Amino acid sequence: MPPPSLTARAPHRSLGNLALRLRVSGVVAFLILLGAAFAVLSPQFLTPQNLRAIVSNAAILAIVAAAQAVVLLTRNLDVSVGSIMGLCAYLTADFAAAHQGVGPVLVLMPLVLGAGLGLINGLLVAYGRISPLVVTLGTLSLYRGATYIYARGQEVTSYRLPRWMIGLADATIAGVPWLVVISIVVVALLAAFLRFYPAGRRIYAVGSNPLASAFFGLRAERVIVLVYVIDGVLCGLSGFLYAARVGTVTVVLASGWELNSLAAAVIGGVSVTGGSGTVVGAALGAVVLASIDNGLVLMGVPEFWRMFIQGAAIVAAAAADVLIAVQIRKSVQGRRRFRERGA
Amino acid sequence: MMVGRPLETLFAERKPRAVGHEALRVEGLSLAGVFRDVAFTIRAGEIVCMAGLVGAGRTEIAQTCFGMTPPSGGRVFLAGREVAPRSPKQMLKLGLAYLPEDRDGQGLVMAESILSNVTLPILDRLSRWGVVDRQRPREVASAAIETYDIRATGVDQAVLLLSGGNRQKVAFAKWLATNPTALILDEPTHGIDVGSKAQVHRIIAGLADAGLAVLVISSDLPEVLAIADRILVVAEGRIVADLDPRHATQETVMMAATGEARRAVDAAA
Repeated sequence: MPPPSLTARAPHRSLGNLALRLRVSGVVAFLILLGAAFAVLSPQFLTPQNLRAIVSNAAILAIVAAAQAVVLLTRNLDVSVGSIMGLCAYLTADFAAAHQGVGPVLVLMPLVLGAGLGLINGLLVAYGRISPLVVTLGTLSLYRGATYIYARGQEVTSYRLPRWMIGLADATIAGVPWLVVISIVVVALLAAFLRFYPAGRRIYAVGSNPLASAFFGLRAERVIVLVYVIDGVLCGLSGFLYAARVGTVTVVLASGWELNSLAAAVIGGVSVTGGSGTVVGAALGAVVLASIDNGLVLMGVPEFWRMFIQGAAIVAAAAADVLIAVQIRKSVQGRRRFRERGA
Repeated sequence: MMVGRPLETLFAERKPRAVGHEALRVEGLSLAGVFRDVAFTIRAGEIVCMAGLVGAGRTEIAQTCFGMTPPSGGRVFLAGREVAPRSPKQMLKLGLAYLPEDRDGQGLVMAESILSNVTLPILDRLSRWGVVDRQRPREVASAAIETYDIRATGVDQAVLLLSGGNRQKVAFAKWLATNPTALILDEPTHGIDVGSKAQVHRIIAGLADAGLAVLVISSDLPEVLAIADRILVVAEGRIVADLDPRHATQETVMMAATGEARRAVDAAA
């Protein structure tokens, strides 16, 4: 008699694997469906100019969503992303206004600031053992408050910013906006880091099973600090890019982005329970949000509805995630039952 | 027999061999309120079983040796050199591995593939210039499937889709990939089917024959009597007996494990 595990192989197992894969490829399917629906409803939707507008709008959010995804992978979250962006953007813009001659090396400033702010989040979560929601809700106010205190009600207007910074938003390379190029490069580098570097693989391991990670000699605390620092650096970069794009840097720059970034990541198939999802998915989630925004505008849907529909998309994506997880569990259990009967 | 194997092969045949040098020695090891004054020595090529009631402190003793919880007193020697267990990372590097009892919850990353599970503890070794090599992890994982006879569709199959016995084999492969000199197994056959159990016993015997020092924590007395070269009985945080399995029976082991408790009850009464 053959070993029982051989008798029940095909159907359940492949279904389980399919469900595991679906978590990642779902956003692509959703994007295609969405695009098809808008293309039917609005003739302007699929024009090259409009598509370029969508990816331009999605570019910065894609970076923030990818940063949020890295944090979500470890079962944590960061609702202070908008405040990190705002503080980094304001300090950098203010510095640039006072020192016009600095040049593009200026971009290092928001990266370092972001790393520092992310480090604070990471240390509090990992070593302070405070819930990540509480920590980052606190720093959401703290960082935004610091921006208010520093700015004293002022703003940095676009004519005080260096020309090259303002030009960055409109510049294109071979017809593709610079912002989009930067976004694609950053997300690709991040994806490669997660896939090919030991540290990246450990991020997934800690998120999937923090206890097991401890048993094979992985220090979860360090990994958590690392993800918040990565997140902070990327938010710093995004804040800088966003400042360049909007021109006038106010104290409320990028407030509300915590919701957008979480929405994009969840729609992109990143599981809020950790260990599952990709940064490319999260970036595509940002494209989905930008497409919804754009399509609704083209269809003349009032502004108020956009928030409602975006919220519905988040709930639907989270529900789909749960359903897929249930499907995976079922297929495993089904296979077990089958095996026991066979044995 | 329902799994189609004769009864006598369920427990692996151990060819008697001379045990080698000392691999893991513990002296006066204590953890306040949990266990005290624990001393034992395990030599290369030896299988030592730790028997006792659940809650006697066996897991805690093992985890302290492995650096999960630093001891409050006592000394630990690995291959004759004194070490101060501080973290699992440090102990793994020094050549001690510990397979936790709850393999799904503590031993494996369930949603990930056999490939990534087996290679996770040794990623640094499989990397070139900081980047994880593409080919070598696959070779390691394929070799593990071969060596431990893991029934799977391939190295990319998610661990949660495997049976309990096969998951245990993946866990074995994962920790043995670190090349330990001493190995602690916490209830290695708990919750796996009879057929896989025999395979796990054969793997344990093979490891000892290859020169590993193996400490097995088990509550399965027939298993303890069959695979052990020596039996340490733990009761209420102390080692109360060091038995030779050739002369021990389930009754003598149980007597030793509960004697301490019975005396306590007598004293109270």
